[in-house]
Amino acid sequence: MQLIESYLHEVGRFLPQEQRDDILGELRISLEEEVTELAGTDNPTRDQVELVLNKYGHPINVASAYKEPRFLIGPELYPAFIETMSTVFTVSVVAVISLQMITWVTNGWGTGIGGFIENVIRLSLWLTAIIVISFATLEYYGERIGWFDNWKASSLSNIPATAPNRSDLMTNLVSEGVFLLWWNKILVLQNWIPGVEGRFTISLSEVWAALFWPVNILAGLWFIVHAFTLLHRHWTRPALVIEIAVSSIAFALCLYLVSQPELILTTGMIEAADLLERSLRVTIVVIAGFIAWDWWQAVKLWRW
Amino acid sequence: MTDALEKLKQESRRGVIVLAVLGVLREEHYGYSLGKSLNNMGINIEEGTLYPLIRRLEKQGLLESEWREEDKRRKRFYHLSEEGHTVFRQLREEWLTLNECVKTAIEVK
Repeated sequence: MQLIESYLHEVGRFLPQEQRDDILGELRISLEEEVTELAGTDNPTRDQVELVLNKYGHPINVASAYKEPRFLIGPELYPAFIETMSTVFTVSVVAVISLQMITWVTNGWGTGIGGFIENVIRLSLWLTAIIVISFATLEYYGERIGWFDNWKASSLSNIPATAPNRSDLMTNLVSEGVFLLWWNKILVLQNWIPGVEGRFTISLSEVWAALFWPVNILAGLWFIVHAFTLLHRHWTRPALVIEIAVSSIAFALCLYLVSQPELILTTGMIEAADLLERSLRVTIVVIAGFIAWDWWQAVKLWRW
Repeated sequence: MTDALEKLKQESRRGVIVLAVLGVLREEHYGYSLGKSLNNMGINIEEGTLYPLIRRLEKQGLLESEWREEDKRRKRFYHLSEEGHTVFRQLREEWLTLNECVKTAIEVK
């Protein structure tokens, strides 16, 4: 029966202290009676004891059955957790790769592939920690604050229509078209600042020159996708995938540009050069906001 | 297929086991004798499931227990509390009604 004591000792390690003696006392009786019944004597063999203990199972399993099941992230939240993780990671990896590529194009190899991997790992760890903590908090407090019980059908948003908003698409097409014409120097803006007299030149700094082709490809792809969607009158899944990918890259590009020390070069009598520089940065941030909104709409449609 | 069947069988037995345990504990039993009684009735339940279950039922106030010596061994005896009897009667009614409904639903056509 020494083997039973060893088994109970193992079970006891995983039991709450206040219940330990009580539970072990009950288990001891049960094990001893079962072994005695199996052996037909008070002196069972080791094999007979082992047979009964194997039937009861691993000490951790036995002990855990006495506890209320607790989850860091329970089965109700788990699907949403996985979906959030995959969405956030996909977007982050695309954004990091885009930023890295832009840095390579504009500033050279820089930290190299080692630095890139380090950035991805660091970002992944932070994102994982933030998402896990958020979901664990929801798991812990969600039930207490009646998160699930207080749900109302009125909180549901309308099903996103796969039919595109024509005016949105037209606006996008016109802005992308004008931008492409300007970017490729087909459309030239001369003396276009009202109230500024005299000879002056405004040109984009070198950082933009390195982005000539990437920006052309991005804006071109966007133009094609929007034109295609407008003609087909509904979003196709490949179009949505391109929209999401291009938006992510464009968003990263905007963030990169805003972080650059110099965006425009001015010569001549431009008293408001500093204001112009700041206005351009604000404009890029606003554009990034619109891009993020478009990205979110595309993701919603794609998930639907 | 076998796995799916096993899971479904376990699920369908889960709720019924509570009713069976309450039913048997209308008479006093200690853990091992309760398991044996259920076994003899054809209700196989692992000890790892049975003991935590009776503790939960006791915590819910449906069972009462006391440690007593029998055959030179200290054992914990369980029986239905007053509330346990009330709940058992209601559960029993519920089960019998449900059983009739299910019988109708699954009868061979």
